[in-house]
Amino acid sequence: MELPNWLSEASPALCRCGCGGRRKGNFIEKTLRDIIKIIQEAVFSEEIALRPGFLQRLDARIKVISLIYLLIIVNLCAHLSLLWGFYLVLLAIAVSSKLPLRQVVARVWLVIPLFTGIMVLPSIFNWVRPGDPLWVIADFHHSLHLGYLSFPSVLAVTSQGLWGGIMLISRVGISVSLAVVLTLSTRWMDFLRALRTFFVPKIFIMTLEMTYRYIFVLVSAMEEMFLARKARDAGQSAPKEERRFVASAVGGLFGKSLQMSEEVYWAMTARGYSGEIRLLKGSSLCWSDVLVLSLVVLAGLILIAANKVMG
Amino acid sequence: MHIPDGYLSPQTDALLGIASVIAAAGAAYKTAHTLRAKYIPMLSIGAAFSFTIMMFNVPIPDGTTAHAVGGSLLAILLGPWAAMISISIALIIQALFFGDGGILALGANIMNMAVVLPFVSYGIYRLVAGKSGVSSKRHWIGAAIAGYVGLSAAALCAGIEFGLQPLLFHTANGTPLYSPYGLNIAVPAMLFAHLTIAGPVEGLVSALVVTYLQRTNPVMLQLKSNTEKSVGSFRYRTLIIGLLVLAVLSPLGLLASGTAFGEWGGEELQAKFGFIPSGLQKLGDFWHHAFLKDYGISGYDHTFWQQALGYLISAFFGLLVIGMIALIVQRFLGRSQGRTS
Repeated sequence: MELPNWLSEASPALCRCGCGGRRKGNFIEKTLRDIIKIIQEAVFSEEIALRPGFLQRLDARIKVISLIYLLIIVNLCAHLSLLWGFYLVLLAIAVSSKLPLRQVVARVWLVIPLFTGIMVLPSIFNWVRPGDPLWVIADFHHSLHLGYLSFPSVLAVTSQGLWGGIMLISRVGISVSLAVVLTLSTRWMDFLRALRTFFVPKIFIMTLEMTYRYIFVLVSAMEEMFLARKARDAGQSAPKEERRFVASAVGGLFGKSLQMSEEVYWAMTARGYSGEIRLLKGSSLCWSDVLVLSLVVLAGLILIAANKVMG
Repeated sequence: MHIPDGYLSPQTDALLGIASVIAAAGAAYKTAHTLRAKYIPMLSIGAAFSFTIMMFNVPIPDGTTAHAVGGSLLAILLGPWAAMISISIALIIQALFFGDGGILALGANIMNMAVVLPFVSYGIYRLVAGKSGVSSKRHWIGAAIAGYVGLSAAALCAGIEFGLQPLLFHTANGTPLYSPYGLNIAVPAMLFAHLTIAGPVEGLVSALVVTYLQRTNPVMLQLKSNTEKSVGSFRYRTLIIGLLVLAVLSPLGLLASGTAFGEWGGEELQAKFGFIPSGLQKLGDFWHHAFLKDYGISGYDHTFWQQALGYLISAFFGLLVIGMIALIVQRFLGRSQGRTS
């Protein structure tokens, strides 16, 4: 039997280096991977929030107040020792609440220094930001000119740049850790409902809750579109065609969401929605919640005072 | 484009939070009469849609992929005010649950991506499209320019926000406290990345989706004018007030506490710490002295902040001990009750 021509040709879907492996990562697979990541994250964090632990037991309202309050404190502190002291306490609490360390530590500290670090790297040199030289890399003995730019004769790492960079990375990492610890230990619906305590109108909470629900509906609709495309995909298609596919997927999804919003509205009306919003009653605070909140407030004030004392 | 916490000072966050609130108040004023009760499900799903758009990977010429923000597309489809609400909600959910963008920096992110982006885009789109028919070329050309310019404008705003940090916030010897680059570096860097890659992607996606809708479902491009004409209820206003409150929530509270900290006088300080119970205060004095002895800094109790620190630490540990005792008692009681029953 004779092979058809197209079968014997090197497929453009195979790796160009000739290793025989498939070319990795076209846009369909990437998008599918992103979708799976979102859903996985949602399910995983829900599961962690349901484990028994100190943070999980805490009322969501307390956690929302503490999160915002502590974020402000962390962003006002200008001393590394205070920031890291705070982080260690936070980490201890996270560990005692059985939060997964991989999520809390590794994901934050592998990603943040990389991105923020690359961004901040040029600023540690005196050519970009002048400062006191800490470590001289090269001495050219005469100042350099490049077009209308002129650089000092010495290229050095400045102490201001270095400490500023370390400060920025620490601050960003600790802020993100704080948010991760408190959101991981809270069920998302509880978190949204907690916002009600802060005089956010019910209608807004309801919109947020509905948005959260429909994100998953739309995301799975999107997943179906991309899976269907992947099932029909052989070889490599032209980028122009791929872009057209993405655009029609976005357009199609928009049509779908409009239609759905119409249907949801009718379904709500059929179930007695007249514009008035009723949400389930929240539970009341217990003494330990109040105690924890006072401890958090005091801890924040301590950090601010210590920051002032240290100058 | 999502600015995380730590890059901007809380003061900047507060300022941008207030600016976003003013924009939201404008939205409330402008749209109070134009929208229907049906809008809650529509806005929810619009926000979910705007969240989903950001997940689409678009193949770009060098073989890799890029994301579109989708803000200009939403502005074209839903109008700038509704787009503002939808994108804000999507940004809030991203910040709270997916760690995409900071929580304090929400005001800044809403300003850049939910206010500047849709409004600039919509203005340009309307300008180019004019009064031409739905199937006119001017619609998709307008969408392309709108996406490109809108995203670049948002990037410019982010660049300016970054660039102001080192000018305003640094220690005495010049160590930057937040983002380290001045305006002369931050603005060109942000603009370059967005003018070359992200901007064209945004324009391309907007234009392609608009042509797709022109071809298959032109009604959707006229949706916006329909909703504007219909008579609405006041509900939309409360929704925007909610957005407003949420945006105020973090930065404004911080502003209040921030200025209060700077301006505490003698009497205010007395009032502030008058609430510490006398027993605790005694304990505080005890701790205070122990604290001083351990650290051995002479004259440590002279400034306000040093005294405050001593009191605060004592109050903290006092409360902690009380809490522990209460917890142990409760557990003990619970156990004995369990035994008797």
